[in-house]
Amino acid sequence: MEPSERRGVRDRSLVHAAAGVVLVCAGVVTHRALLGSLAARWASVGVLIALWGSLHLGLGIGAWRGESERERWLHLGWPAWVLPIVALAHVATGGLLVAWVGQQAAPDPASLWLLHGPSALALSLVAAAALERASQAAAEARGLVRTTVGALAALTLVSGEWIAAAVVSYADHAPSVGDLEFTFAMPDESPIQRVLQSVDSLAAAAGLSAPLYVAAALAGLGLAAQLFTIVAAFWLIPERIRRGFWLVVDAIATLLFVGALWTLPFVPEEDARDVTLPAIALAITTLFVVRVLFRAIPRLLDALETSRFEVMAAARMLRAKKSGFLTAIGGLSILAVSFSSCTLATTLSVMGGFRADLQQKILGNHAHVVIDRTHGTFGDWQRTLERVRDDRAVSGASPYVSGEVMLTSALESPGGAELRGIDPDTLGDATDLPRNMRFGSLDLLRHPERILDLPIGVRTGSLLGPSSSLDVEEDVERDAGARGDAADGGEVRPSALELADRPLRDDAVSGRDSILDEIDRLLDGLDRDGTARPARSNGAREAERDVLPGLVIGQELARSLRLHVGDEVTVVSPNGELGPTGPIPRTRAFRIAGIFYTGMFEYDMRMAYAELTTAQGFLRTGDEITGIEARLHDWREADRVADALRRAIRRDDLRVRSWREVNRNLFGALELEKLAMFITLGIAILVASFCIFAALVLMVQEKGREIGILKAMGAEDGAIVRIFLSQGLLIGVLGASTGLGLGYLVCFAAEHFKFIRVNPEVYYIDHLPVSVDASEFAWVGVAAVVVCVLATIYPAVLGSRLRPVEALRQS
Amino acid sequence: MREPSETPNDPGASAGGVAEPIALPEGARRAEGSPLVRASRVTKRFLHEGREVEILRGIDLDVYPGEMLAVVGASGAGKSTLLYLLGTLDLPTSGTIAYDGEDVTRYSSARLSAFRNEKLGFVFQFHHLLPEFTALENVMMPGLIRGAARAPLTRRAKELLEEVGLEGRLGHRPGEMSGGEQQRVALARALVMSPKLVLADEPTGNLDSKNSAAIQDLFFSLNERLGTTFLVVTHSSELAGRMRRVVTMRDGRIDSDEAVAPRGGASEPPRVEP
Repeated sequence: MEPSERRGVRDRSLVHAAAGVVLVCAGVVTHRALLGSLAARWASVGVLIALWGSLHLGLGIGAWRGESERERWLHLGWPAWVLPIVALAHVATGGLLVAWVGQQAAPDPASLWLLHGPSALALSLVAAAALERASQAAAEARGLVRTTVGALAALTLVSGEWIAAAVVSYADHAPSVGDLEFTFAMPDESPIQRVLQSVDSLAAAAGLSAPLYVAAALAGLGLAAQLFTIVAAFWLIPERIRRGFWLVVDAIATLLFVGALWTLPFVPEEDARDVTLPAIALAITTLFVVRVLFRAIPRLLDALETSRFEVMAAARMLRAKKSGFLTAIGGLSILAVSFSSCTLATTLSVMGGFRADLQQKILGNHAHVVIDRTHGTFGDWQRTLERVRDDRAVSGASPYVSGEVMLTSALESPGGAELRGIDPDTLGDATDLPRNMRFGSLDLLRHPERILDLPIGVRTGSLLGPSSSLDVEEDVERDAGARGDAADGGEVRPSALELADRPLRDDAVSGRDSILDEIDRLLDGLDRDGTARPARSNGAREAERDVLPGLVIGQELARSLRLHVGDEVTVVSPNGELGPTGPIPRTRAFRIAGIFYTGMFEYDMRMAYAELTTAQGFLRTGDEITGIEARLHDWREADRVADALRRAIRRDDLRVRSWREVNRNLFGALELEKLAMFITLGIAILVASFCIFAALVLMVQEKGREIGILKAMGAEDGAIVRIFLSQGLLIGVLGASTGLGLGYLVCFAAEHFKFIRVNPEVYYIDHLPVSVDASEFAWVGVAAVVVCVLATIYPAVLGSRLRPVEALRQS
Repeated sequence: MREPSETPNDPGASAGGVAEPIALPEGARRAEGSPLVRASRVTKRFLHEGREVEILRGIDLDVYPGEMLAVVGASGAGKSTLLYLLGTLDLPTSGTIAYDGEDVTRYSSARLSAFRNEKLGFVFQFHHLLPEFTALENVMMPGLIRGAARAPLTRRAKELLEEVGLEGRLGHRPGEMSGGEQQRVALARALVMSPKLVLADEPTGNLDSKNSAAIQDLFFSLNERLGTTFLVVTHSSELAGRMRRVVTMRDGRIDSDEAVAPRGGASEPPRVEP
């Protein structure tokens, strides 16, 4: 290029640039000046002038760079990496402004756009420069596509914003809008919604909805593309600046983590409703751990590289360059292992959670050891009971008699149940039943006459009873509450009140007692007046007054029969006396003395407890019992103690079974399910191992030349095998450890935050139960690593078999 | 493979007409003691598409310690195959290759690896550096494979890189270096274990004349100062012309084996500006 020509180009570009600067300044000033004046509707003209100016600036730069040096650039230069930074800043300030405006009672749109304007202007300038560079760059310039798309997205976003700004500033100052305020938002809406609605209504009032929607579409499209390109163009930022960025992120993460350690609770309170703070703590911890990992993995690989040559080569091949993070294929293999081991560990934990939940319920409601006959009842049981109680491992034992019956209430058709005669005094030693009572009490079985003396709160199922998220319970309570209006209050006796208070669960609010007292006192007073009481037929009242034997039933059964404490229920035994037309069922009336809730549908639906002798009389077993239930100090010893008891009682006609044996089918099914899950998800790991397999076979193919070089330099076949095995091991260990970490995170969150809700009608539990078993996690990890190492054997041997001559000649 | 413009198998051409070719019977020419390598009746046959191809048809060659030996010949004459056989990277179909009187063709694979590692150095046309490793690490690699202590190994590798004029590029990876620089790294790598014999296959084949001359100068200077034996397979008549002994191959046989008066290769400055 001739010097004179060069000077001409320079002059031209200088003219462009000067014009650009002047126009941009003029545009900004015009915009600002017009906004405050009467001609505010023309303020957007200033914006257009500024855009025109920025175009001139771009042209000036273009003339300077593009025409003075006709060669094409291999590097896009500063616009490529400044663009994502400016775009990020612009998007961030936009978000902050929207949030800020949302907090304002009556924000001024002009101030909003003025605040956002400079960054939009800067972004459009950088985008113009980037676009200009991209148009001049060589086709193979790094980041060409990212920069071009990013610049176009930025221009789209900014133009959308400018149009919206113009619309809003026009609408805000248009006479037709009048005194319409910028804000009339609903209090519970998010700030962004409030702003958008205000803008929307303003534009609608000015008849400018269409341009506003166009602007919104443009800005939305630009924003989405911009966000993608910011992420994609992140790697165009010079490494030093990126390192600085991560340093800032790490510093923030560390500060947050240290702060969280000091101030935030990590494990939420039991049954806590609000888990926001622990969730924030968990998120901070996760961020911190992830950043630590990102810092640690290259260091770890560095450390590995100082060890044996094989490990060094493996570690280096996995990340392709020193101080690099990971190669794509290595990273993908690690991710595959990571996700599959995470899934496997999580699933096993959930299965374990269900199992633990079930086991806990079974252990709570079931005795640990049951002594009974295969069929029928047995007598002379007192001595056996004594012997069982003599065993040191046994903490308590209680006899029972059981039989199949049907229950019918006044309101519902009969339902089948198992009637159990129990000893209320000793049952508590053998099962958790007394502690599972929701309403009423087991002691009432001994004293059925007291049932009717219960305070109203207990009898109707506690108007102010403990709240629970379970629908079933609410259902009962609602029924109870509805019925409570008509119920008979009865007299209050201090002893009965005390009696009733005990089973009303430990979380009784102190205020509740006084309220219940108050209700009782009022009803008592009404009773004495005899006027305001709801009228009920004398007959029904007399029937309720009858002292009937008590019966304790499960919550589900109570719900299906619509029964409440104090209600009467008819129990029908199918094996009655033989009449002229066959067996005549025997019936007897009981009164509900209590309702229990175990959390096991099976129990809550089927069990009905009565006093032992009453049941014996009803079931016609005489003095005989069906079995003895025993509870142990340590449930894990159930099988051993069962054997010991079998020898101790010395009765061949009785069988002694542990809870495991009694529920063998259930646990067997659970174990089988778990095994099936393990196999299914193990296959997932296997599939991940195919990925490793394929990756390493490819790597062997790709690294054939290098294998040849290593062999020429004296590496043995074994060393080559060890290099690839080490890679498999590294992939396995990194994948498994990150996967298990992720799995633990998911399990921790699911266990403590109970964020995965399940339908309690189906599962009888409202959240996904999770039980983390360290040994299971360890096994998953070991399995993942072993599978990875196994998957590398073939590629490793394949690599070691390469003959150096062939490998070297490949190039 | 690049075809040379001249016919290198012509002895007159390879000698450049400057030195007088002296044809001497094998083995009788040197009185410097026993040969470092002795290849006797070495043949190599490949099975290529069902047809047996004889690459080497009985090679007898002695290489003496401290020699600078060029193997020249047309493409397909079997030069590279001979180099790979001498370098124990491949096994001959028949015949023996003896180092210091010991037949290495009988060695086990593991022993051969150790032997290659300690006694031989390789320089290839495409320099064959490991792309993931830095120049320093590439030079250290033979020692790392042997499991040598890192500190002295690093020192030695640095010395060698300094020797080849790359002291400023220790941390660079092959992709960040020019072809000439890469070949110098490869040369340093070949020397790191102080081998007795350096086998070079077209070491200057991919370099421009300036870099090529620099590498050649390095060869001669190292041979002079360290006494390292060089066996160079080359198409370059310039390189062959500077060698003191030129073996010409044709159709799998040694066509001629001539000692040439040196043309002053070592007298040129050994150090090259990078």
